[in-house]
Amino acid sequence: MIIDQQELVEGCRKRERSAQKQLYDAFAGKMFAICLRYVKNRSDAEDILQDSFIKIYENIDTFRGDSPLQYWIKSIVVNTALKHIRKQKNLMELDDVHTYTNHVVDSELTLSGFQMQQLMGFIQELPTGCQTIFNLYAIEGYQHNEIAELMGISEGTSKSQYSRARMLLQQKLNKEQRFDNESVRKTQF
Amino acid sequence: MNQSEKHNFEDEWKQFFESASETPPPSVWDGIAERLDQKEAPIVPLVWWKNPRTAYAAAAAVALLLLSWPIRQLISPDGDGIAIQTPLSTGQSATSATQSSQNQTTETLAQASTPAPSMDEIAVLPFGETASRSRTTSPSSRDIQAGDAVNQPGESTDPIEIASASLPAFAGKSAGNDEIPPTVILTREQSTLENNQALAKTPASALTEADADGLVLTALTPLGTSEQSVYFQKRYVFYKPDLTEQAIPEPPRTTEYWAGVGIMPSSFNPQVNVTSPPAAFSQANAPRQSLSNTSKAGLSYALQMQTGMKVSKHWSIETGVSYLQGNSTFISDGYVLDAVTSRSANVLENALLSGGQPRNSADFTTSLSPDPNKIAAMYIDLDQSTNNDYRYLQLPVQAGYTLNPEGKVSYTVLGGMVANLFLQNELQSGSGYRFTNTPDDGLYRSLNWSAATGVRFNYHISDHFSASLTGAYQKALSSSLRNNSDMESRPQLYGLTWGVRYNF
Repeated sequence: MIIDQQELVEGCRKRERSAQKQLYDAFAGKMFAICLRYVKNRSDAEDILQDSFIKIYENIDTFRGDSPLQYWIKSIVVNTALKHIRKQKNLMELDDVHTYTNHVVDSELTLSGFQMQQLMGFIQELPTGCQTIFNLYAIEGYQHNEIAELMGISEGTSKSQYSRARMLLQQKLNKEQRFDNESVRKTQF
Repeated sequence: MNQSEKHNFEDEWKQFFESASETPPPSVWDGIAERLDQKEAPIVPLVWWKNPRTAYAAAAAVALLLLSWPIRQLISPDGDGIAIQTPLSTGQSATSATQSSQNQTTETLAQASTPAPSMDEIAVLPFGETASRSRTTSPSSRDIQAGDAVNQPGESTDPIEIASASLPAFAGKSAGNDEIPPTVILTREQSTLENNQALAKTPASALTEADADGLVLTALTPLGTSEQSVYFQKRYVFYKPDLTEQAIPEPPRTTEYWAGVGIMPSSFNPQVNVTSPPAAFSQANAPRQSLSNTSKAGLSYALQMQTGMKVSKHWSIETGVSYLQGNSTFISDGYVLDAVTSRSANVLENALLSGGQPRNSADFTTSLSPDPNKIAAMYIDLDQSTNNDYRYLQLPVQAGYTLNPEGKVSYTVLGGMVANLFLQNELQSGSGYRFTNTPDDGLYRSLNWSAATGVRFNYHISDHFSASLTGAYQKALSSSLRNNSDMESRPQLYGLTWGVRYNF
């Protein structure tokens, strides 16, 4: 039984199927969640996950161990997801003309009380451009200039799309919270 | 929205999804494993080969083919040098085998250099046939009786023999029986090269006995009737359409020679003009300052021989020899009369005589010489015409540019020079007097140049012959007279040449 990540990597380098399976079991759940955030349906997410792990196994020799294995795997998954989106040409709807800076932000909004499936659904309902940029900026932690370079768009577009994504998400959160409050109130009466 | 709020929003999402996990369906790993198998699997051209059953079946098929090939060659009924016979008796067979063992070696077996029997001598006899029906083999044939192999199985190393001897049917038939069991005797006469090669590849151990006695196969031929093998021959019929080989056209010759002859009816005018009237004329016609005289062209002809060379597709140069008979008439409005001798001379004659010193002049020369003007000469104002005939040998050198050179009809524009070699000039008056000049008289230049031009129509009769019609014009570049200030002459000629040319 291989436990140590280094041994896992070595096993994968030797193309040992057991090591590959253990690596998959160790990271597939988290990576699948990432995939789900970038696409609209599970089928696409499964395709991305499959392609990602194939790339991971093929390029495992290039992993030098400078960073944690999870980050390396995550970067491959994100890149594969972006490539998948680019292939779908969904980024064409990106609009860098409008800015969404005048939205109302409810500072009291919190994600506590929401389930992961709900939030995942909110993200998946975003327009693809907004969805991608929100994921990259808010969750993966990329800067707008990095996103612009990564996606081949301008930095302004990245910012505006992120603002739009944020506004849409807050609207969804507000709506959901209001509905929850009302339902709670109704049940109290 | 301040920055802290912004970061709170993002951090909240980040923290929420940092630990998010969703179990993928098992089909994802199955797909990954399958793809990994495809990538890592060695490239095997025939995947089914990995199936053991298939491999065994293939090995068995190959082994069967290897074993059946020599057998098939041996029992082949197409007369490829192997005869299957029933021997007459054991003794005869033994003798035959002994003779064979004494004489034959492996090499001779392989080479098959012994004389081959004819096709009639090759027979396949089934078991049970009587010996009388069998054909007798030639003494040189290498026969082996199967009985030897059966009776002495230990001596034989031929695997085929051993296998044949172990057949129960054959063993039972041969045991304790004087009658010779059905035997297949193979002679290696008329063996083909393939058979020789097959035998040559036989292991040495297998040939130790067989090389001396030949191969013995027993009980291989089934009892009763046997099916003849049917062989198929693929015939490939190659159809070659009748291709008309296109002759490679020869490049047009850039250098082409020709020679031709022609006759040129022409109009020759010597353009003689007496510029200085006789002294007698001046004395008698003081008021008249000029003398009227003209030269009229007469029908002339020229015989030509030409040769030329085509230097390019259009350009050519040509030369030749032409004999010109130029006839003309000189008309003057008076003549000079010698009062002493009563001899007369026309203006032209008088001018010639006054300008030169003819040595072979006409018969009246002596009477008028040296200068009739200075003797008692009178000018008679009466029109007189004199025939003035010239003979020249012409050597033209011309360049030609041909239009439509490869057509049936072509056109050539000519231009060049003509060297006129003076041969003779003869003046003949109406009264019968003749005055003849030759180059030796020194009156005319022996060589006078003319410019020539013309247009020729060529009609190509055949590959070698062509007819031509040439319109020519020649004009002397200088006076044909030598050192004569009293007259001048610059002949010109119009002609139409009919010619035939042979192209080499």
